[in-house]
Amino acid sequence: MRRPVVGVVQAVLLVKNRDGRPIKIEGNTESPLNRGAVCATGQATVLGLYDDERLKSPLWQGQSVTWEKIDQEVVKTLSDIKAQNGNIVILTSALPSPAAKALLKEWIQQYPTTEVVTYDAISSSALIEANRQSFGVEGVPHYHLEKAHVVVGINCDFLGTWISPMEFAWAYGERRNLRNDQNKVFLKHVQFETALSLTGSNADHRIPITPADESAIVLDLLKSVSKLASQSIDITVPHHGVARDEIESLARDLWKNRGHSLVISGSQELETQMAVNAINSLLGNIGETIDLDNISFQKEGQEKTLAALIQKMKSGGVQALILHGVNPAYTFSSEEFSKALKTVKLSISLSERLDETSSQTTAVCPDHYFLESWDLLEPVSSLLHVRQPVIRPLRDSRQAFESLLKWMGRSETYYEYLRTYAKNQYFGRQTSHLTFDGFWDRCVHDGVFQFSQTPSKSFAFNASLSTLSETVLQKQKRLTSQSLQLVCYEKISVRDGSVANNPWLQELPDPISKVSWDNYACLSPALAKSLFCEEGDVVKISTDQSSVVVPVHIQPGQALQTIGLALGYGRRQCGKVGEKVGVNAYPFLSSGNHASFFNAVTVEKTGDHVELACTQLHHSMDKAEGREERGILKEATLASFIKDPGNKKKEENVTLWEEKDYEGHHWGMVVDLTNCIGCSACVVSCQAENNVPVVGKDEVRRQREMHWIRIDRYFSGDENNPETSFQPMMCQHCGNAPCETVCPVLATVHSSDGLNQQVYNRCVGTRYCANNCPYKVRRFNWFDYAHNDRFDYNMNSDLGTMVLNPDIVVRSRGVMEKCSMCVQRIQEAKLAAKREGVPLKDGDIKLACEQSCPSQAIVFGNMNDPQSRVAQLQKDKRSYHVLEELNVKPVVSYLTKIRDQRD
Amino acid sequence: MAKKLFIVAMSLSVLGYLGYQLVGAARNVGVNQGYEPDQPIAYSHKIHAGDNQIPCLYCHTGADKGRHAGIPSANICMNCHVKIKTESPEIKKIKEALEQNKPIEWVKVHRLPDFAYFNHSQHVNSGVICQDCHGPIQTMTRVRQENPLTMGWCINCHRAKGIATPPEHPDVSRDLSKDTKPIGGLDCAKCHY
Repeated sequence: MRRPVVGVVQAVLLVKNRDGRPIKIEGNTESPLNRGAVCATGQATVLGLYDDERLKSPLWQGQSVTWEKIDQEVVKTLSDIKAQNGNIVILTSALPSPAAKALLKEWIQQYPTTEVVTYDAISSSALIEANRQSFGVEGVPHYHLEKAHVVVGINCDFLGTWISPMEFAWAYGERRNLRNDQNKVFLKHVQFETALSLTGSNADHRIPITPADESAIVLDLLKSVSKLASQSIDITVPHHGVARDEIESLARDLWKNRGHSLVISGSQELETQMAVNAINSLLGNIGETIDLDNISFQKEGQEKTLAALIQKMKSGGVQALILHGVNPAYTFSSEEFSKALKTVKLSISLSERLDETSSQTTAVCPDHYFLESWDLLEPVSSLLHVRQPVIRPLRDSRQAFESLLKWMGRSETYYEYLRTYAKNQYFGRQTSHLTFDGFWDRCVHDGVFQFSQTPSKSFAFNASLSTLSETVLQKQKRLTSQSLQLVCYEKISVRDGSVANNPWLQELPDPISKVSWDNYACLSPALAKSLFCEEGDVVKISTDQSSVVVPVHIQPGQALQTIGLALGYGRRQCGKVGEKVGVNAYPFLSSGNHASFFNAVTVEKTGDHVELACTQLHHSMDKAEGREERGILKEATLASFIKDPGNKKKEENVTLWEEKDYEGHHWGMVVDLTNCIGCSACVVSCQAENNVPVVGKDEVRRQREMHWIRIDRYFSGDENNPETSFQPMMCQHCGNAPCETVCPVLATVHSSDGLNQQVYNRCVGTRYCANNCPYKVRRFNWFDYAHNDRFDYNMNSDLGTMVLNPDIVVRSRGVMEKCSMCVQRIQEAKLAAKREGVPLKDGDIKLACEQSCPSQAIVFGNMNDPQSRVAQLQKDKRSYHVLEELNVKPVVSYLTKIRDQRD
Repeated sequence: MAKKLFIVAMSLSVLGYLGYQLVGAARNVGVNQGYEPDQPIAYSHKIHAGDNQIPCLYCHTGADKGRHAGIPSANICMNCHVKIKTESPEIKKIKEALEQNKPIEWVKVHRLPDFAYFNHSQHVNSGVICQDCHGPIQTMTRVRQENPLTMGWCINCHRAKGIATPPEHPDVSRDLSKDTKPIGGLDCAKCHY
């Protein structure tokens, strides 16, 4: 049974329930935001539900108590504070729920001395403020990447972590899809960035920049665009690392596609964001690719608000503090926060677990997990999402806002509150349903309700271009620096660190660095050389305020003279998995006044050396230099592809094996390398679907990670700015499978529909098959991961095993395993078709990897059906097999990666 | 010499016999044919399915819809027993379970190993009757595992039976038959994954 839910990552989800327990998260195709795809973090949230570390009951001063007792205490103290006119502060993360916002307003009527402070550890505050100053709209616009022909990203990881990555990834895949319509405009993507991000690694043209140069480059681009728009501004742009003609040709490209271009920046400098707004305004993108009439509520918070609050707390100005969705003792500063907290009479955390913050508060009132609760969300104006529970609460928890309702003396549940809110606020805005019950049922059934949107129009840019450029120039002068610069970034797995206790995400290799279970200082090869650092050398990175000790990872593509460090690691208290993994980079953010980067960083070697759990060289098919000749990864430029779309004509190879005849179905897969952005959603999706165990950092170092699908990452070209290609690699289900011929016990055999089957019960663990596999996709169970205390992850706890897919066996020690092409899904669809007496249609079977792919890079189907997408795509001129020379006849075809570059 | 030969021949045959017995025993590891455990309530299929001819699907509601046939919940029992034989000590146990909101702990009889996938609805809807696998259930006072439920036993049936054709979809079944020859196929991954 699948039910629509809205996830914490604000994707609309369908949750597969088995025996009353959610076991797999999939995207809801009804939603225009993620269209059936879910990112890696979203996929892994289902495991978070079964986290042993979630609190079992509310706590009062560290003691487990009943809800009655805690309500009594809280209400008593709050009314005392109210009587004495004391201040109450509700500190919350951005709330995409309009109902929750309304509830907070009612709370203020009840407790008039309450102040609501919104705080996001990683926010888009500069963007929001810039929009207020430029266009009078305070908020994040709804970007329409699907309408763009050219996109320029400036330190903005929009495919990985920025605002709405799944939505952007879908649009990106759609606009760069060479499969459907050859005449469609191929989206051109230029990226300026410091650390090599997922987005930058997909760009047609990536230009490494130091963060101090960022505003100068934006200003230069503004100058060039304004010249083309005949509104020349007269300024001298300071020197920066990008060549003049590159900026000018980019400006020409943008101007040529005005109204169909998009410039976006992840900068936290207000002036830079203003300049970006000016560029988009000159290009006529407002109202086209940038919708300011229907704004997005996916990011709202400020980070500066917290510093002010801490000051206020220290001076004794806050009597009660209620924390929701925030963890300032981790994301701000532990000492500062604890000091400030001492002056507060009553502090309540609504956290689901004991973390750095909630372990210090008077009371902890655990919130439901999002899969256990109701909510209404409006991520983008006029798009309503309804979240419904898919399981009864596993713990003695209570929805956070229901707690607030209780403390307001209201007897209604949050569900009732939501319904009333929807009736008053949303029911009247639609015409398709006559009764509220009908409307509500529709919302709950679909999970999504789209109201008619205001047509987006253009907004006038409020500031004068010359004054603006003057301000940027002034700011830039202060920034320019020759010293080392540090940038902090989010990883696609643990993101801001709130999901750090999730072993699936910790073990997911970063698509760029291929390192799991750690964060590290990314140094460009040149910088590492000049500092005499090698991979794994431990260094101390310090600014004048803060310092960390962290291993070095040499990262081609990292801008020279810069260091990249991921946020979200170094949790001190979150649970057994996430603690003591990596170092905490937040102190840099909080001490550095929340700039995007930090100047004057010093690096010194400590003399220690550690081995990072880097999977890059694991399961390697070949040396990097041989990959083009051996046809592992094929790439081409758009121009050469248009001129000559054909791959070299395939030679018919001689084979010793008999030609097999597949009656009925012959399953096959096509992976479009142009579409694959490397986001790794498929890896986690496969892990969840197929009960793939987590092995831990130490075993990953020994090349024993168990993922059935891996994202191979290849660098080519210049070491300082390489071209990156991703290649998802899983069992190729070869027609003449080399693994099958060497198995002494027939544990791996071929099925009548062309699948390479692994029979666990027959396997005796010789590992001959893995040795003979040219694609290196077979995984061996070195341990009984599900019953060995050394692997204390989800499979070893009673609660954690609930996430296991009951259709799939949990493999025991000493057997080989590998991608089965989700044979359980094939069987399920076949059986359903048989029961209903209808033939299987193309697209009826969606594999876990294909299902979660936001950019539609993976297609699965029946090769015997000439009308199927797979059969059509395999005839595509870009189609090739990896290591074709071996003539093992894989059923997985890859489509050549195309980049829109000059030759 | 002859004595020696005799001893060798004897020990070989004893060894052979023991080996044969051992293999036979090993082949029956995990085979529970004939298993007939006591149940918490002395429920009789003979009375219900045999004498009173209650259709199997009335209680085992999942058999034609899903993978599991399902053990009926206590409220299904109470559909009738709210009126019938309410004074019986066995029925009182059900009533008690309902009142205390505690499930009745039935002992599972037919246990397939977890590495084998089996789907009830697939079989029930193809015209396989319950007794084909469960034996003369309508005569059993206490449920007994009639068949070995081994892989060989499954495969033998699949080899012997023809393809069940749903009469209302003759065209479709012809298409489907391509991938299901013989029914269910003999590929490992039809049942093991």
